[in-house]
Formats: sequence, structure tokens, C-alpha cells
Amino acid sequence: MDMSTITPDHLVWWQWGMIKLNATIVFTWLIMGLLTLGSWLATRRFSSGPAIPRWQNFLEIIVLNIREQITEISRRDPNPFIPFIGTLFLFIALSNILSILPAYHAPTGSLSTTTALSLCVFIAVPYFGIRHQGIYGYFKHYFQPTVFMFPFHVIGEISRTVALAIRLFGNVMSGAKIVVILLAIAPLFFPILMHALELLIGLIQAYIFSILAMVYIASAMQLHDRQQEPGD
Amino acid sequence: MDPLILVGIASVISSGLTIAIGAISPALGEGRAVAQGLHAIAQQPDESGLISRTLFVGLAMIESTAIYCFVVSMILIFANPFWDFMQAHAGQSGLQDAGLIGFTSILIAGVTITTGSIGSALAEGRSVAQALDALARQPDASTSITRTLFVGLAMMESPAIFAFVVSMLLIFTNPFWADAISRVGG
Repeated sequence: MDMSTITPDHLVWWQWGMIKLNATIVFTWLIMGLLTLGSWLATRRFSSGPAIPRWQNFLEIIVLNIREQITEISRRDPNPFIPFIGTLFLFIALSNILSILPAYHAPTGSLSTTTALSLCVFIAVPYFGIRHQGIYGYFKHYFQPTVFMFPFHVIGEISRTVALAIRLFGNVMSGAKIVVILLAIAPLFFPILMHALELLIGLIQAYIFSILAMVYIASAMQLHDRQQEPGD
Repeated sequence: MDPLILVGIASVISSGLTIAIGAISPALGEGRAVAQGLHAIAQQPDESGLISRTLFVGLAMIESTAIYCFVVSMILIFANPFWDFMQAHAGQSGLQDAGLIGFTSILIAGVTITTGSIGSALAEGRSVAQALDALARQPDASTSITRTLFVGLAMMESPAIFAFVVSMLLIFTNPFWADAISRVGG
């Protein structure tokens, strides 16, 4: 990232009329390709015997941990959520980890990518909510406890979507910025420390983004269950 | 006053004060968290690995509010778009309005991130401290304590991030500045 721009969106590599190919899109494709290729290579030779391939072991650790976290938060079967939550986590984590490569610009350091991701969460919340309890059951909670709460529920949902996008963008962007600035001042050793801190923060942000997405989905589903309990 | 000098004065004042004031509250927050961490280790020496791991991740989160201030003040020193524009158009007439807008934007970009991050840093320090105390009392509940801590820290971080994004917008994509320099004609 250049010192005088704040997103990789401005880095246009190829243009044909209205169609631009900027760094954000290219690196998003790169991550999509890496994830797909990696999963394909690793899942080619699966075995259920006692001796399992190294990559299968690695994938199993990741998937098991994601499943465990989802189960602990939602207290229900993780299978319907794991494609969505797991993809969010893997995409953001890989995008942040790859920033150790030179000439790489994390697509999560662009507000357009993070907005797209948080819009996915914004749509997934009613999707899971409606699938779990029907349209009437889901939209009823907007009018609880009174009708006058409706605008506040809507504002709350929009503001938490905006916060999700800006939190990820701000963290990744400031991390990329600080490394560029330090490289200009003290190129030898200090940027490495900041890079390590940036990697830690990148992983924490990937974790937090997917956990918060799961918390929002679980809260849309649990509201109903609590009202169902008799005598509550 | 010459608009070039005006922008230069604002940059110097703002970059110094941004990191000076912005470093106070993260330092206080980290001090509080480390103090409680030592207390927690004394209470539960067996869990010192868990406690110090949580402490360091918490410190990294608190530290990031100081990093926002540092980034803003470094940008004002080394990659200042207002200064670059004024330097490129030095000696040109009719830059007075643009100079005033630049002056205000630079000062307020610093004020935004410093005051905006005070609350986040203090609150994060307080909750990391409390989480370490909770870990010392109930090490068995460590997974749910640390998960709640990280999610809570992320939420407390958001106000500082909003302030940081607004102050970056004031520096890099400021519509008032863009309008003021388009009137100059260059």
C-alpha cells in the first residue's frame, strides 16, 4: 500500500472502458483460488484409517475447532452454519495472514470487501431466523416489547452491520499503514515486530468477525426458543 | 499569513499533540491490565501460562488504539496531502481559503482520533483487568471468559475505529478540501 492512499481499490492494474481490475479484486481472486486449490488437494486423498495424511490432519483441526466454537455459542447442531461461518473465518484469516508477502495488499483492507462481507451477515441473519421459525415468528421480534421499538430494532441491526465492516477495515488498514510508515523510517528490524503484531491482530479480527456473525445469527434464532418455554 | 506556513504550523502542532495525548489512555489501560495480571498470577501460579497469554492478547488490543494515533501523526509528518498540495502550488495566489480549510482539517483530524480513543483504551484496560481476575478465580471457565473478553474488546474497540476512520477521511478524502482546491483551478 502506498503511503498516501487508504484502500487498495485505487490501485488499478488493468482497465477496459468501465471495467476496472484493481488490486482488491485480483487479491480476492487469489485467495479464492488458494482456498479452493488447497481444499481440493487436501481432500483428494482422504482416509479413515489409523494413518491419515498430514493435510487431512491439518484440515480436521481447523474444522473441528470451528465446529466447537459454533456449538458453544449457539448450543445447537453446527452443521447448518459451518459453510457460512467457516468460509468467513477462512477467507478473512488467509487474507490477513498473506500480508507477510511482499507486494500483497490484503483485500480486507478495503472498505468494499468488508462491507460486502458484513452485508452477507446482514442477509444471513434473517435467512437463518426465517428458516428456523417462519416469517411471522421472525418478524414478530421486531415489534417486541411494543410496536414503538420497531425503528430501534432496525437502527440497531444497521449500525451493527456498519460496525462489523468498519472494525475489520480499520484494523487491517491501520496495520498495513503502520508497516509502510515504519519501513520508510526504520527499515531494518522494527517493522518485523509490527508485522508480528499485525498478524496477531489480523487473526483475532478474523475470529471476532466470524464469532460476531454467529452471535447475531444465534440471537435471531434463540429469541423464539425462549418465548416458547412454558412458564417463562 | 501564507497558506503554506499555516498548513505547516497545523501539521506540526497536530502530529505532536496527537501521539502525546493519544498515548495517555492506552498507557493507563495497559498499566491497569498488567497490575491485575500480576495479581492474578500470584493468586493462581498454576495458571500463569493461560493468564499471561490472555494478558498479552488483551494488551495487543489496547495497544491498537495507541497505534491509530501513531499512524495519524506519522501521516501528518511524512505523507501529508495538504502540505504536498501547498508545496506544489507555492506562491500561487488565491490559496487563502484552501489554507484555512487545510489548517482546520489537520487540527481536527488529530483531535478526532485522540479524544475518540480515550474511552476505548480505558474501557479495554478495565475489562482485561477484570477478565484476568475472573480467570484467577475460575480457571475452568477459561474458554467462555476469553471468548467473551475478545468479543467485548472488539465491541469496545469500535468507537476508536470509527474515530480513526473519520480522521483518515478528513486527511485523504475530504470533500471540503477537494472543493476548496477545485476553486483555485488546479
